[in-house]
Amino acid sequence: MSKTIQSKATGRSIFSVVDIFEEKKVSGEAKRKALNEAKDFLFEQTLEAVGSISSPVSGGKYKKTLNKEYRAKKVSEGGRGVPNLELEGDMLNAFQAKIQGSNIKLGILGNSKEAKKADGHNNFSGKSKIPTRQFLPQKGQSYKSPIEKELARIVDDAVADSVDITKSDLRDIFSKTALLAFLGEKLPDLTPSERKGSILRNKKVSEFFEDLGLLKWLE
Amino acid sequence: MARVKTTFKLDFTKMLNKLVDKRTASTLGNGIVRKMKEHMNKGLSPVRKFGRFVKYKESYRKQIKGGLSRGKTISPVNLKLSGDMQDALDWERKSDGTVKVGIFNTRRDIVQRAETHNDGTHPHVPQRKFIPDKEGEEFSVTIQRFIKTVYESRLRDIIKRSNRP
Repeated sequence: MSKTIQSKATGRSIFSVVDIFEEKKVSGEAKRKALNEAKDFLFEQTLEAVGSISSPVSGGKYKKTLNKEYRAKKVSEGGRGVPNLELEGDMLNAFQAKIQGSNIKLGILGNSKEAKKADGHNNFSGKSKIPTRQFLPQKGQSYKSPIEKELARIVDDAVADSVDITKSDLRDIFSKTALLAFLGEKLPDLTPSERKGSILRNKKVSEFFEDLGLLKWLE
Repeated sequence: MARVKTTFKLDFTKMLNKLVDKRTASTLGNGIVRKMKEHMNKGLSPVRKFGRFVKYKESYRKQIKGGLSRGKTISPVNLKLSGDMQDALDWERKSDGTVKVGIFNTRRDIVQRAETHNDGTHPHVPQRKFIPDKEGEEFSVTIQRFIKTVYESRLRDIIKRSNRP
């Protein structure tokens, strides 16, 4: 499960900082790959959720209707009569995700006007007077379960992708037990189920397995 | 005939011929097209790193507010007026195990419109990329993860069946 380790609203920015590694020891190339992929995934999933009039945050509040007067005003100005958090689109256009050290930072950065709007919806400051429509996680919160599930797979796949498994490593494997033990050594931070999934999703490695007739032991 | 398309290899393993059967290709093709439309209808490019589509120009926004087309709003920018370009998004399974996704086998004006948006070739129309058709471009991570999930599921199924006595 990812964990939001920081959430803040300042005059110019509103952001969340998310740790995707759930205490798994991931370093080097695997870490870099996972962060890059997860950053873009969280960016997309946040905008997908808002476009679907829902929060991407587990337990996140999202009022699904507009009040009558504002709805009429929004429609008369060319917008959709639903709370998709956009009229002209400037706030969502300012939304970004970036890598910060070993974490991912999401939010509106260095843009006072749009950050203020975003805080109106997320209420990190506690001063918002409009209904909450949360699209950034607060400290301690996580994302909804389908997002979390995919984040975990992104990390597992990056780990499997970065491990050096060659055909010659596998040539002396003649039993399911030996194979599972070998995978346990190569991918010690993943569970047996996570190992299997990440191997099956890895083109290069699964081809080795198939060439050597080992794929059958990954059932 | 000109096309705006991308072709990617589903060569996940050498069990290829079994892996990319008609049903799997259909799951992938239909799923990818559906997810592309979901992205686009929310103003998001289905191409990784291209982010949200550029805003409509002020003059076009005025036309929309004036009732250009029923249901059309100034945002999200969704590349949709009549809907015929989005409806033309399609997929095709090839005999070599590849799947083609894009706009092809359709009216020339639709293809031209798609190229204009995808490549930004018109002086007054900014690029709004929705098909990864150039070297180095790829689908959004959301779409790529969907593809991986389908592969994994299909591979598990093949392994299970081949292990049956």
